[in-house]
Amino acid sequence: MAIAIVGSGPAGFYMADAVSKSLPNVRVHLFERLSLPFGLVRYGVAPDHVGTKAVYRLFDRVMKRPNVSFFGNVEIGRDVSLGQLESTYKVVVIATGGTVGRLLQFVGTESFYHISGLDFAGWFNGKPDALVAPPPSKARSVCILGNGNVGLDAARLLTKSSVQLQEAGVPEPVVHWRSVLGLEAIHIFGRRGAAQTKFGVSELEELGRSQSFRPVVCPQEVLDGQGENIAALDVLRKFSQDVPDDRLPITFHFDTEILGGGDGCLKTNSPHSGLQSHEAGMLIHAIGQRASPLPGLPFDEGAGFIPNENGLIQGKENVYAIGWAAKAGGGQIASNRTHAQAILPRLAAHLSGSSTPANGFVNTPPPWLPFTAVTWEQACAMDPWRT
Amino acid sequence: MKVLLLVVTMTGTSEMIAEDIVEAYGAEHEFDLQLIENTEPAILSTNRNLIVISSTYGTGDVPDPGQPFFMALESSDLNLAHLNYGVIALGDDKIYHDTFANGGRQWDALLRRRQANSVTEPLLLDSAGSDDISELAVDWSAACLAALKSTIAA
Repeated sequence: MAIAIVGSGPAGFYMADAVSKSLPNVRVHLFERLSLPFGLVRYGVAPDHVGTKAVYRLFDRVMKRPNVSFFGNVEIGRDVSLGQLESTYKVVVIATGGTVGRLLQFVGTESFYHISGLDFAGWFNGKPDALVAPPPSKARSVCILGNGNVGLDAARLLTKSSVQLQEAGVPEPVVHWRSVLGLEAIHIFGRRGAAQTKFGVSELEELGRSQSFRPVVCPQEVLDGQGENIAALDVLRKFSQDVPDDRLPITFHFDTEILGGGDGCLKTNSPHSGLQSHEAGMLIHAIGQRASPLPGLPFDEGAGFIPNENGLIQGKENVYAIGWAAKAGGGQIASNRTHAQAILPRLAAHLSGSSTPANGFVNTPPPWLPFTAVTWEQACAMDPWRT
Repeated sequence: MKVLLLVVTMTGTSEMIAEDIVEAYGAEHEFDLQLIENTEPAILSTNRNLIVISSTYGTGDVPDPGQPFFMALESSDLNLAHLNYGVIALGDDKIYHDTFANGGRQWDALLRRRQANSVTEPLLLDSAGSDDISELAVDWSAACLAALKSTIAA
């Protein structure tokens, strides 16, 4: 008996881990749209956060189990239909993640080069389809929308020297792009106050240690001590008291409304600063993400996920969604593990009664597998992390 | 020798390390691998040898799954003078330098307060480092297991 898991990011791998460990007689086939595995861990986690990326070693262990196989460069809707998956496997689990960064809509957006924080991280991580258009070759000022760690990741990556980026494994064309960008200022905008951010304390402090850029916070914006993230507010307060030096500014703007754009400038309004205009050679939207629809499955366009009940997809009997695709888990890498373990008993009920095939785990690929599919060994051989 | 392995993990890395220890020394010792969320402090009363493997969450906190056990043990009046232990503390020394491996260090401090006997210094493992942390843990465990064994003998 066999199960198909679609997506080899944290949701897919934690699902494969749980199934292959507790049901050793079930064959697990893990499908990945791209050639290389690990999804968000490879392309979403910032390249310099190697400790967070190290969770891939755990996923490597999963691949060592005899009942698990990986097939990269296989896309649902392009190489195989959902119907084919359903008729080949006893259970199908959709673990395709939250792959689409949300873009803020406002009047005059055509005036800017837009990129989501997710795609920006993907680009610095060598994700093949991260850019939809060539990036601007020059940008004196970059504006980042959103007060979470994805925005801080983008800001921090922009502050790194060529050597630091190379050490983090950032592809050479990206390092070169940054080195000739001519960047003099970074702006970070939040719709809410300085006490209501989603910034992590360590991530803020990390930005404060930059050698070339300095966080700039206006003291009036950090007066209010009421809010849900006082720990981050304390760090922002420290920034507001720093003595200016010759480092370039990363300016934080809170309670800010984006009014529109024109002539490459972002028009903003806030209670503290009033009407302002900021040059934006690049506009990075770090305001959240959504899942992408899959042919043959329902999709909630408004909320951006696959509608499901405790994982079971609406209108299906044996197709489940987990992680970001199911809008479950809360967005942390580790919460996918919890979600996979919660769904495991439901999958086990479909898969009970499995016994080891007489010929052991030959793990025959599905008959419709395209010849362009990438095996685990091939993926490892072409993986820059392993060379 | 019977040894309790208490695993406190969010991502599963500590569990992977515990499984590696069992694989390496399972022939010599009888291990009881427990995820912290599935057990409670009373288990410490019936064991004499313990290795805690804990990651660190947020700014130096014990990971969420370990919080109920930690708080129950902290507020209990258990005397663990019969218990010998070692701690493997995981963390990220790059992003979270100031609170590096504090999750495991908190277990060490709490076990001390409950009169348990530390047989060796905690092993601090940096997930952002270049070493294979599982190999380091397996190497350290040989010495820790030897120390646990000699403490029983004494």
